[in-house]
Amino acid sequence: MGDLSLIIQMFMTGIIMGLIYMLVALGITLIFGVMRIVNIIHAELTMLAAFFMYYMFEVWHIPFIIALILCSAVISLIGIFFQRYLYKPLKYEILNVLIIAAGAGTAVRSASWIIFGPIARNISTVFPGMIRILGTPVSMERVAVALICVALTIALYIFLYKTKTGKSLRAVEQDSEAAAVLGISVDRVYVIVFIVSCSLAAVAGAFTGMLFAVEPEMGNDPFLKCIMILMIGGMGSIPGAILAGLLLGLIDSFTETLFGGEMAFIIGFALLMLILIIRPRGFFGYEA
Amino acid sequence: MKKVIISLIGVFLAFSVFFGASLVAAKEFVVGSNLVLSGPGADGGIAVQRAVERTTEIMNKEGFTVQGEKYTVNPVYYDSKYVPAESVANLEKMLSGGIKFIYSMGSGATVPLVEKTTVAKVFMMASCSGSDHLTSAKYPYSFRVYPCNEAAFAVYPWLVKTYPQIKNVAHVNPSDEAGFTESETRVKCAKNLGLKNVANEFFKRGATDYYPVATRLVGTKPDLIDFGGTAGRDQGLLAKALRELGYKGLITVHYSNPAVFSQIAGADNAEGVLFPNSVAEPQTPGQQEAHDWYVKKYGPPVPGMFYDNVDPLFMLVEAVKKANSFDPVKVSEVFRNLQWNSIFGPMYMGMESLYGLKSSACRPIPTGVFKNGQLKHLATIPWPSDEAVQKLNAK
Amino acid sequence: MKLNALDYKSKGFGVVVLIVLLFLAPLFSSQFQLHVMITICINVMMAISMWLLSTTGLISFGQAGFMFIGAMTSTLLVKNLGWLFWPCIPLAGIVPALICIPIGRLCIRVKGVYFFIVTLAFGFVVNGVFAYFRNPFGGWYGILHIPPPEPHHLFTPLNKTPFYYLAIVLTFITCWAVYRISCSRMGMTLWSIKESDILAESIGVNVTKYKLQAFVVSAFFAGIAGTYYAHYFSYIGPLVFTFNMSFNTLIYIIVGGPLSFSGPIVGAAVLTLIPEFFRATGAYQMLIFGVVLVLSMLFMPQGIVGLVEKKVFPLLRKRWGNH
Repeated sequence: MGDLSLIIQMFMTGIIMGLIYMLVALGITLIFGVMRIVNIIHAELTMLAAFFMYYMFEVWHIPFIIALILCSAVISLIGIFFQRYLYKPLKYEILNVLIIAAGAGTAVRSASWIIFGPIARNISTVFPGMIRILGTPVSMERVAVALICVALTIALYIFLYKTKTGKSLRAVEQDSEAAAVLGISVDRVYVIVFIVSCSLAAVAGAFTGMLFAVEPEMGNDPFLKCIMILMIGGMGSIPGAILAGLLLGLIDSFTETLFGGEMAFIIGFALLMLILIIRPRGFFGYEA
Repeated sequence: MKKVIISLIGVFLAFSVFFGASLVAAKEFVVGSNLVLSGPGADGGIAVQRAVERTTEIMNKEGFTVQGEKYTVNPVYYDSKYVPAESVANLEKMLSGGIKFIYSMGSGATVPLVEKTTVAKVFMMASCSGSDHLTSAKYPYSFRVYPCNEAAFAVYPWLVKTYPQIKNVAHVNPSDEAGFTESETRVKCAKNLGLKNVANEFFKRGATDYYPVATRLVGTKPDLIDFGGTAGRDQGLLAKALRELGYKGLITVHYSNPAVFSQIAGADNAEGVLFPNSVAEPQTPGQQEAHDWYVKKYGPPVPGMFYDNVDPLFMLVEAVKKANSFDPVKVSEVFRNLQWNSIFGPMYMGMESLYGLKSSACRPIPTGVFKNGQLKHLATIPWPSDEAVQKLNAK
Repeated sequence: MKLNALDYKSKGFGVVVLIVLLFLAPLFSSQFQLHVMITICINVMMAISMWLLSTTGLISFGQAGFMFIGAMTSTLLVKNLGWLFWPCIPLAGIVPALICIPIGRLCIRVKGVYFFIVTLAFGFVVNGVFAYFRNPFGGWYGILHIPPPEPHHLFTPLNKTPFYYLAIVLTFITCWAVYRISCSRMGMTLWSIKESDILAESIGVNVTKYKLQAFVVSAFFAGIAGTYYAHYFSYIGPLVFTFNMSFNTLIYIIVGGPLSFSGPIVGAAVLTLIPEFFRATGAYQMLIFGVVLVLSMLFMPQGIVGLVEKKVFPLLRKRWGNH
């Protein structure tokens, strides 16, 4: 593999992985921004979405787009269930929500092992084949998923900044009391933000299951990366999630390819500590 | 504060009431099964559990006789979650309950136990690597019942003979106990057979993306990439990445579930991959029976670790019968010298030159190759002689 | 805050009863029960040391990191340099405490919510550093065969009783120290910082200094818990002192009751016992634990101690009259 080819390969891997992690991070950061809680179940929702898509698309051969829409609906329902019956009774207090979400996440993961069994699965690719970018072969599905992530981010932006509902979300994010005074139903906004976040989770799950593997533990590794992204980019900030996601993806890709996994791990965390020491709220986080 | 004391006393009493019961009922041969049933690695653990289930079913149809009394097998399952502290707690519970025979798996969960089981004179057989941290002259009651990195001593000579074009070997392993042991053994074997080790990479088990590791491997231009201790979905993802990056050479995958591998890697990417120690189509009646039982109860595909763990419990019961006793020390001696006709062929405890005493399973290694979307049987590699092993193990 | 309502005489009596029961325990407990008690002791040490820090309002997710540093200190001293175990105990507390001073200064500069993020990162960094260097830190693989305390013929793998007594003693020392601190002037200051640090600063309290002191003390005791773990389980590694462990400590405090001293103790004891009930159920154990956690958060938002104080004791008082 020639040097230029290697660099292009590392770059593309970095961008693609960064975009995928960013997609998951967006869901979490959205909820944090509006509701000021960390929704740890997001990882399990991604996993459930992947299993759902596996059964819908792979086993029952329902067309991909329809399966995806159904999946978003189902995952949103599950998310809203958690929100209403687990988070709301705790009055969205951040620590308590963290713990109840951790408990629910553990229960869901264990139940998945029991129900789905030990065999890892994979969702057949909807984008087969390889293409060449600047002379370097890349698999079509990776490129397609990356483009979809970009498209979804743009869609999210349009939703938040150009639609009335989106604006009400941002209003609650900035000041929930003032928004309530202005007649915005904060509860309704919470439900909507959960629907949006869960839909993002559903898409992330579907594509992670397609590019990688579907199994009950699949949410763990991406989730860890997302927490790092959120720490670096700033909790609650969407531009932060985008920027930090891409940055982390690229750094991970370059360091791991050039130096091996163990070194990459250390460099990643050293960088994290450095950024947090210099600017603890991350790139665009709130002034606490 | 007084209220606190009262509540603490209440907790303490509750605790002491509930834990006294002994786990060993009369006329039951209790085997404590310390398996990984949740978390990463649970696919292996559940496969072992199902193998134990089958053995129990078959054995308990008739039971077996020791010292004139009839016994049935009762496996009690504990989840070690692949966490050492949990595994130790499981061991304590088993010992407290009077269990004297343990079946364990997962080297990270099993190796921390062996000091204690030896001192307590408890028989432990394990389906995991760990090399001399698990089986050695220091641990006379600890056995490895399925060839792990030891299989390399059989596979490498066969590889060199069958594919003489291999000159450069790259190794890739997860960065844990199992991975390091595998890497050590395989690097030695390759070197002592005249091959050049061009890469020895480690990755974190359960990682999402394998492109970086794959890029590193491909960059060293190997003829063969040995997946070593890589297990589960990591294998499929790594192979997929390697092929997508343009690697066209040989790949050997161990500890595998070929159907899962091909599903995750994609049938095209799985083409031509070698699977040492995997059952393709059942080759012997024993394999066929095991296959049919599993498919009837759980549906295909049959995980590789299921086949590997079909025999050990039968062997243990046979050793107990021959020793006519439930004394772990006596049973260990019989077990060590047992000749068993397993579903793979003749199986016995060996590797004395490696570990100082016969403690690790030796048996034929069925090997398959993936062709046209299916695993096809390629060869049954015989187990090497002790002298051959010594030569390969030289520094 | 319940500190004003203490009745010192009944408290003393209660403690004596508890001490007697705990010291007699090995007479009627099996080895496994002793093992569970030891695990509870380790968890209590972790929970109570983290609790001290939480009384200032700071939630740290890096306790496992300090435990690991403490464990590594005594492991290296005993295994590589041939020291005896006993002098290593205080060192295993001092080294993480010293490391905590500069780290703590950096972390405390950060406001509330972000403090837990920085400590979370710290936990990962500790793991990463120890994981990277196979020599002498053992790498991902960890360090096996850590020798037990001397005398070796007393602390054998077969007999847990000496280990048990050591654990009880260490736990008592930890709890006593934290209790004294929380009752003392310093403790009151820490509470006041939690209520409002701006107000506290306005009356001349050096908030940063007190936060740092609480942090350092909690790191000290975390280190001691870590060294006991190392010499009891005889195996340490990055896969042991994970974020999960820090998070579990937090759960003990919150489910036990974060507002009172006994909360973390009760929480650690109860939440260690519950999975033990279900150990033999195999894969269902974690499922049940998750469900129990969810239910206890829903129905006991002030923790177990909070529930007991608000609901159970008023009922008892009505029946038996006032104490």
